This record gives sequence, C-alpha cells and structure tokens, in this order.
Amino acid sequence: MPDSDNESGGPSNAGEYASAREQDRFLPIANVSRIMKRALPANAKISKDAKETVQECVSEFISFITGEASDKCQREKRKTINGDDLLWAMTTLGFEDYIDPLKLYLHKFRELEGEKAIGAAGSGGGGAASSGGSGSGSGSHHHQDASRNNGGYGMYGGGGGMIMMMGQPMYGSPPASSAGYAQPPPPHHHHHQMVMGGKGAYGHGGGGGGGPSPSSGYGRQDRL
Amino acid sequence: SEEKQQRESFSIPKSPPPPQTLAKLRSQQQLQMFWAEQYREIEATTDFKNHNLPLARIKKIMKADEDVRMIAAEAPVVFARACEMFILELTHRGWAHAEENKRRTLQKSDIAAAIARTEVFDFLVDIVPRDDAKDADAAAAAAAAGIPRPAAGVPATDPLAYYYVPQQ
Repeated sequence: MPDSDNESGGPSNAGEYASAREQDRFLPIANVSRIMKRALPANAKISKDAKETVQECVSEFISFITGEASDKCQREKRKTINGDDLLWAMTTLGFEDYIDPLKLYLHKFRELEGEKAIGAAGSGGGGAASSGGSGSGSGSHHHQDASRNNGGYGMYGGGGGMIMMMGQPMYGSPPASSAGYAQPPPPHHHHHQMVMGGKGAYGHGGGGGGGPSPSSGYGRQDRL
Repeated sequence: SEEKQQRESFSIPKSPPPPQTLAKLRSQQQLQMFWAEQYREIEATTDFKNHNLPLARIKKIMKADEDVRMIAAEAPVVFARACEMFILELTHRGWAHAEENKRRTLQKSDIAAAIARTEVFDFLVDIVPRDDAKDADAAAAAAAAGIPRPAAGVPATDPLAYYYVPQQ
C-alpha cells in the first residue's frame, strides 16, 4: 500500500489555501479515513468533521508521546529518541494497552533489520566495513537470531547499534534501566559471530556485539 | 414453612440490568476483542516496508518539537503502528456513542464523547472542548430517556418548542 495519498487534507479551520507548512502538521486525511473505516461496519458513514477531528487528534498524540520520550532522553543525556523511549512514554502516559502489541512489533522490526544488516555484512563470506572501522567474519551464520548476533538490542539489554545510516548506526544500547522492558539477554553464540561496529548514536556500546567500546565511541570488530 | 415457600415462589424476580449497563459491558468486550485482534495482526506482520501512514510526515510532526534532536529509524515505524491503533480505538469508541444514538454516521460529537469518557484521552480536551463532549453526552442521555428537546430552529423559550422523541 502506498504511504500516502495526494489528498493531504487538514482541518477546515486551517483554511482551504493553507500553506504547505500548515498541512505538514497533520497526517494525510485519506490515510486517516481509510484506517477509520476499518473500525466500522460496512454500512457506516463518517462525517468530514469527524475525519478532521481524528486527524488533529493523531497529530496531538504524536506530539504528546514524543514530548515525554524527548524529556526522558534529555534526562539521560541522550540525543536520539528510539522505539524503547516511545514505549516507555506510552506506558507512563497510560497507554498500557498499546505496549504488548507494539513491543512485539518493535522486536519483529529489529529482528528483520538485524538480519538484513548481517546478511549485507556477511554476504560472500567477507568482512564488512563501516565508517567506524573494518569488519571481519565468516558470514556463514546470518540466519541466526538477530539479537544473538548483535549481542541483543536495547530492549533486551546490551547490544550495539545495527541500523546503519550513512555508515553510522542510528541507535546504540540505551542503559538497561532506561527501557523499562529489559529482559535477560539471550545466550551468546560465539561460533563465527558476525558483528558490526561503528559509532553508537549516543555513545553507548558501539563495540562489536555490544562489548565495551573504547572511549572514542568506536567499536572494534572482531570474530569472537 | 408452607407460607415461607409460598412467599419465595411469589418473590419478585430481579430486574434485568439497564440497557446502558449492557451497552457498557458490550463495548468493553468489544474493546478486549479489539486489542487481542491487534496483537494477532502484529504477529502475522511480515512487511515493514509499506505502512498505512507516511513515515516522513510522522517524523516531521515529531521534529516540530524543538527539543527533539535525533530520531532513530525505528521510531517513526513504531509510531505508524501506534497511530493506527490510536485511530482505530478512537473510532471504535466514537462508534459506540453513535450507536447509542441510533445513528449510522460517525460525527464529531461522537469523537468528542469518546474523548470525554476515556481517561487516557484527556490530553485531547483542547482539540474537542469539554462543552462539546458534555453536550453530546447530554443529548445521548436525553434521547435514551425520551426527554423532550427543542425542535430544530425554534428558540427554547417558545412554549411549542418541545416535541417527544418516539420510543423505538
């Protein structure tokens, strides 16, 4: 399904010829409307002002959760808001029902991204190099659980950054207490472990497989 | 003892719970089913490339907060799903209010009522003022009780302004 439709819409009080800037404050009304229809029986109708109200509410929801997550990052002197911060904010603000499905969703997403990164790094049995250093590894076990290969993610304790953005991982490992969802990390499989280094987005554990990183924040990449 | 048995046999049966209580119970059950369904949907999810809401727009809304510096790639992905669930829940709760009023069209007043009735939606009171929500709930209660209300377009002071809503 395409990300959005052309009809961005926006509450009518914003004016028909509202600037593009104004429109950016809301999610496209066509997408919002499509999701609303899924919650209703086939013979139900939705008024325009109901769509616009929900559209506005969703933007407020994003800002509300982001604000709380951002405060948490500031308290912990981190620059990057990650999925765990959002889940923590939702718990704090009373959206407990959202947590279990989203925790599963985030886990599945990270697993998939981890596999992709490991697959890319290990293809052809050679090492992968990020801007943070040189990589090495056999690439023979990239079907393993991503959280094992990567020493676990923030949600499970430990773990170095895996999603690469211009050679830099977008998230390192937040402090174990920060997630609020920490579980015991899965056992490490040291056999031909493929790890990716690079600088952690907020200075924690950029090292291979979540190991201690040097003071520079760049991790060494070894085969363990 | 015979007298006692007679009294017991003629005891007045307990009245069934009022329709409002039944409606509440039904909507609670539906919400439980809704959350279970959300979990099942996510369990079956394999596609993380296509989302029902645009990630770039979500990121823009997040960036509107000047305290936000960097956003992990996973954050808008999580938000896309969270927003989807939020829209579904709000619509679900609004629809319950529309049904109470025997309507098949979801209106702004239904969304207002859903916000007023749900504690976690308190942060939305600025978007839908309390008065709107109160009016929506009052109208619903009046309709349920069969209380007369002013005819459309006629001032409430008019002695002929009231008509009775027929019981359905």
